[in-house]
Amino acid sequence: MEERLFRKQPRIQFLIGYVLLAFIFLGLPFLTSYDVLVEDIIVWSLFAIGYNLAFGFTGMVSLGHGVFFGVSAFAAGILSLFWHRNIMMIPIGIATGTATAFIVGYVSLKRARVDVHKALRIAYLVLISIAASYVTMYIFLNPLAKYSGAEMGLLGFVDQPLHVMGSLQVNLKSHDQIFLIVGGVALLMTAWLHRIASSPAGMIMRAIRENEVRVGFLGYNTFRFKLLVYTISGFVASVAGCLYLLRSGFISVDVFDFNFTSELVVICLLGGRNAFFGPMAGAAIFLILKDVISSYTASWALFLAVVLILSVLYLPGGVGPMLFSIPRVLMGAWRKKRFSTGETTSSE
Amino acid sequence: MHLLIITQLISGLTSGVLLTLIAIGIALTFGLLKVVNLSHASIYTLGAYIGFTTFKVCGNFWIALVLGAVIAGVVGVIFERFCIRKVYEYPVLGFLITFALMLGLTQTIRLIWGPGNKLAPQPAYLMKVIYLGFVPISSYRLFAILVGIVIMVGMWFFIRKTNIGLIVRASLDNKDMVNAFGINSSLIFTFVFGLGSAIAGICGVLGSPIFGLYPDVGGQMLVICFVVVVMGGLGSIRGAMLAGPILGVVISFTALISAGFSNAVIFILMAVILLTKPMGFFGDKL
Repeated sequence: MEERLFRKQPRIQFLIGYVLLAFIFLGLPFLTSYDVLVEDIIVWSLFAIGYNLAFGFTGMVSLGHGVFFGVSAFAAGILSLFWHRNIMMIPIGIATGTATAFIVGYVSLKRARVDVHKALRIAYLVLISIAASYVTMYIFLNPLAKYSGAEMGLLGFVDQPLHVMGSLQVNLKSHDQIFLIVGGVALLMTAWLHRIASSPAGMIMRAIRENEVRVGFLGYNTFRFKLLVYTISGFVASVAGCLYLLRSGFISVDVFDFNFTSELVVICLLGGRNAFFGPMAGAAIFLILKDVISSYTASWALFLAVVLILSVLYLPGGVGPMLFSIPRVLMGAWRKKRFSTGETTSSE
Repeated sequence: MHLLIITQLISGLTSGVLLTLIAIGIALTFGLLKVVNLSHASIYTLGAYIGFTTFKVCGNFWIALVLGAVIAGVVGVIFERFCIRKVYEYPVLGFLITFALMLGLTQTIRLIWGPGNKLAPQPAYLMKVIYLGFVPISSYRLFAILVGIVIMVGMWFFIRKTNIGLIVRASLDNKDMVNAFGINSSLIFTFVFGLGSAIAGICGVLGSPIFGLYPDVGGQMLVICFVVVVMGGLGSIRGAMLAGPILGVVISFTALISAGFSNAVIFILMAVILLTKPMGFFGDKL
């Protein structure tokens, strides 16, 4: 819970952290045979970090991020299958997803002003995002069934390469290219989001979470600020959607279901919603657990529920901050030990 | 054509009444505790399955109704006492914990009764068709409407005319003041929560022949109930009573085109209402 906003991060720690992150994002998929799981963790941690900007930092619970994820992936996939096989379809897909996020955010935040009770404001966001999930599910299952493949999902995306320019093209079946694209984009986006979260804007986000009325008194237009944050997190969800499409070559309408996004909530909560890199740890723990437990038993949901209840009741800060404090604790113990041994040698 | 319209109207009213009853539970919880109770859905499902098993074992529909209500109420009280109580006034955590409870209970139901569809209990004497003039009506739907109206009148009497109802209404207005009078309001909250859950259980038994019986039925109902609650104004019982039948009729007419279309329509309707009348029909209290 506790955050020291004005603490200067030592530059060396910052550097080590990013080198480690770059290694995980760009190197690890090549080195292990669990490359599918690692790629999943990369995409999901980007998705969760973007979501956490709205959920943990600004305090907006939305169940609609699966919609932006899906709309952008479907738009990119459908356009590249039926119109033009060009890499430019992916930015168009991301733009579509972001526009959807803007509309949903506008509708759900417009009326939820500060004079409305806090619980009611959250209820508006939740309900309108559920509404968005049903409406998009209908759109993609009925009028667009010819393109989206209805319940089957979008098939055949990986069959042909995507053209970039001239003879340069992205071969979607080549693992090396995909790993580099997914890891590189995710790394850049994470760094960008980290920059946002540690800027003064990030501080206003947290201030809005704590007390929106007072932020309004300070002269900030909280509606526009919340809409901005919502759109940014929708943009990140759209990017994650396109990366997911590139990685797996498949997207189905299941992502529009609000249960899909609720897993994201669990990830953020498990990892710690007040820490920037918490959701990343949450995504890793969640996906590894899911992989392991699903291979033993079918009732993964029961396990998920127990973990969620226990973490809400007894660990509201999440396990992420605990995990990140391990190096610090170890460092502290090491220093103490060196200090005490030094003392004993001097006394001798 | 007229026949179709009247039949759809009646089936819409039936589901509307049941939706209202479930929505009242959600509205009360939200008004009193400021918690969006997602676990209400799975309590509905639990009631439905308990009714199914009871009816299969002893064959009496009334016992099924009572047992469904009692067990659902007890489970509701357990949920409130051990989990939801801890997160009052924290809307985000309340939302998460009720979501977890819903997930867990639904999965437990799936483990006990299996994931597939079940044939819902329906007593033989209610399977007849009654002719109202020239319109055939399923007597079960009529029975469901009647029971629903009886429960609603009972609720109205309870809220308006009894001492506990007085405390509930006062707590809806100002909880701290009620505490200041030395009333043990937490006991009242538990009672109200249990009551709402028991009504959801009765609705489960009553509604399973109409809405079907499978582990995810509650989730399907829940989102529609939320639309009812929002349309009527969160925390308002009157609003839910008005919005429920309206929504039921809208659903039954739009479902003639397709189920997905009817879902899309009701949610667009909800978004329009939230934008034009953000407090719902009667929700000017909060």
